[in-house]
Amino acid sequence: MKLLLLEDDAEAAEFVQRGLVEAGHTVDLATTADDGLHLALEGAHDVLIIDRMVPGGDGLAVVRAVREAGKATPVIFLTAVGGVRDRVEGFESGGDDYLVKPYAFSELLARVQALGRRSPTIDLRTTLEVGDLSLDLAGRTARRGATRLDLTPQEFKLLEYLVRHSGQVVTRAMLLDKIWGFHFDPRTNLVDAHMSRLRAKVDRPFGRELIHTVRGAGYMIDDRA
Amino acid sequence: MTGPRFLASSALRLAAAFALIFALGGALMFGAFQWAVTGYANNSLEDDLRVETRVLLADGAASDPDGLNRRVTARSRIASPFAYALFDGTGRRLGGQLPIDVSRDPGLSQVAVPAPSDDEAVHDEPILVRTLATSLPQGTLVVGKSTHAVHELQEWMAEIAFWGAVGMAVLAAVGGLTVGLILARRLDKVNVATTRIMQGHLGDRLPPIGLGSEFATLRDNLNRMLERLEASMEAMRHVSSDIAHDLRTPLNRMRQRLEHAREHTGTTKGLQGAIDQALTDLDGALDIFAALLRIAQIEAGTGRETFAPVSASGLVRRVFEAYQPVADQAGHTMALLADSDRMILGDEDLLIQMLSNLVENAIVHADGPIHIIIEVYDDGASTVLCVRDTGSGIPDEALPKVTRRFFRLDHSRHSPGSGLGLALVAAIAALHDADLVLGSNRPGLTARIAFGRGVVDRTSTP
Repeated sequence: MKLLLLEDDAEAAEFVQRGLVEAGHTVDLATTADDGLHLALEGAHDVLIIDRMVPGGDGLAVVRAVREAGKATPVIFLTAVGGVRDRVEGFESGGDDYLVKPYAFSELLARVQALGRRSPTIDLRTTLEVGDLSLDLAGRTARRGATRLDLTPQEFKLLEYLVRHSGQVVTRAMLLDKIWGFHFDPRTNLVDAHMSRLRAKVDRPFGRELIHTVRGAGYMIDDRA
Repeated sequence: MTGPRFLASSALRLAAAFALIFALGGALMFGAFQWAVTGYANNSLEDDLRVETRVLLADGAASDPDGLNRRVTARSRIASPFAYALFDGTGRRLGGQLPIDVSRDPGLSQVAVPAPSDDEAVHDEPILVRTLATSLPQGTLVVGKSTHAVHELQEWMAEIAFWGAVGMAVLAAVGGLTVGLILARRLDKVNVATTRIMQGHLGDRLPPIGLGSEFATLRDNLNRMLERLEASMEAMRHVSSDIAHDLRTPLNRMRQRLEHAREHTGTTKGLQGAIDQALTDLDGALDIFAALLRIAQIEAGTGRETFAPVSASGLVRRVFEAYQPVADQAGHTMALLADSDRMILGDEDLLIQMLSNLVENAIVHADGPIHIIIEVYDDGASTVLCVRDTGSGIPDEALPKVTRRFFRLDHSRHSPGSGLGLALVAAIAALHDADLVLGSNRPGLTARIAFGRGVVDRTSTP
């Protein structure tokens, strides 16, 4: 993917840039609000990574200007301020995701990949498939092969999110945010407990695992043949 | 200090204002007095004229001009205070000393008479004479009396009015100055005390101001304010040292680990393990930091502007569904009792975090398998969110302290957590004007959060 990184701290920017390049992306780097806006309007990026506090203006203003220019490029904000209001402000000015500093690089990478792969048009699919797992979105039912899985609505929601991002790492923080709407870090292994229940239903009876733990990052659903 | 000077000038201003007010008041009072007395004197003068006229015209003298003239002449001779003029039908003066041009129209009038040369008091000024003319069958009788006495009275009264007003003004000025100076001296003591407090003697309080109950109330209020300020500064100092301690502990552990790994670990795997541990320590420190920031933001009232109605039973259901598998995995049981269809006006994210903290506390601090009940019910006008467990609970004497930042029970010191969980719960409850009550569940802990004014009944919202 082609990414734009707006970050004024040179050391942090270099670190993030190197990580993203190692993951196979190309990265345009901007250190001021003006440069960032210029690059965002000129280039065709898949995802914009925007620091909220940069010299020459607020990252919010940059994103607002990008949106006003008619560009729908997905945006993830990086910020040192993590209050409820700051998150709402980020979404209101056109941001799609929000990451509070300090963050783990694996978290940023997973979120950038999730945003970049997001289908820009309305998804009209009614079934999703990974290997022999199929989800019927209209009937809210899941099957592996011919066997129907007995899932609670919440388990179905979790499985659907994984399947929609199949082949990508999904972090615990992403799941907390998207599935439970929790914007804080629980002190218990909440995500793992739910995932273990889901695996007991989706994977264990069938011998072949589709849900994989990605160490130090999160989970991934994938049909690794 | 400019205080005493300012107060001195305020005393002066007070004195000047008093003096002015009393001078005006005095002038007004004496003026009114003078007006009333002059009116009375004039009335009595006119009455005198009428009586004198009646005496002269008694016994049918009106129709006997010659007899009347004799009477007038006779009365003029006996040093009477009156002056007369008797005219016949053609306007000729038959007798009396009043000037010929005196008004002969019936009724009251006045005329100026040249002053007698021997009178020193009224130099060349003519004397004003009040006259009463009475028509006779043939002619007119005019009786006059000098207004000199009334004028003298008026002048005398004006003098009294002037000096009276001056005297009152002087007295008022002295009084105002005295009151001002007394006030200044009392406030000086207060200023000395506040200066000491500003210099860092936070335990000092204001001395009695005196001068009455209003000032006593003022002093009491100021002292109460100082007490609260001192308490919150004390709390702040306490928190600062706690932050230093609780943040340094994980940072210090991390430092030691990295140092040890650098000196003693030869393998890549060993180094990676040390780094992972260090990252965990770092995350612990960052969590404390984030929790402190969050509490500070909430305590500052941030978020109230985005309050929206939130379903009370929806809240507990979400938390129950999120934590039931966690409790299950840890060997605990969990139950949901949702018996309310009310809406709470609040911040959904924060309310979820509040309930989650309570449930996590129960799970994290449990020694063995426990039962956790998460509940919502209506209690009269208020809606209560409640989390109860059958764990080890909190000793009664520690209950008032557990919502303080960094307060930890001894037996929980080694379980995960920052000692900020209940402080955050208390802050979120306070933000929502809700009452947080912690008590014993015999055994275990009961945490009740009662939402009163902020609750909107679902049935009342369309």
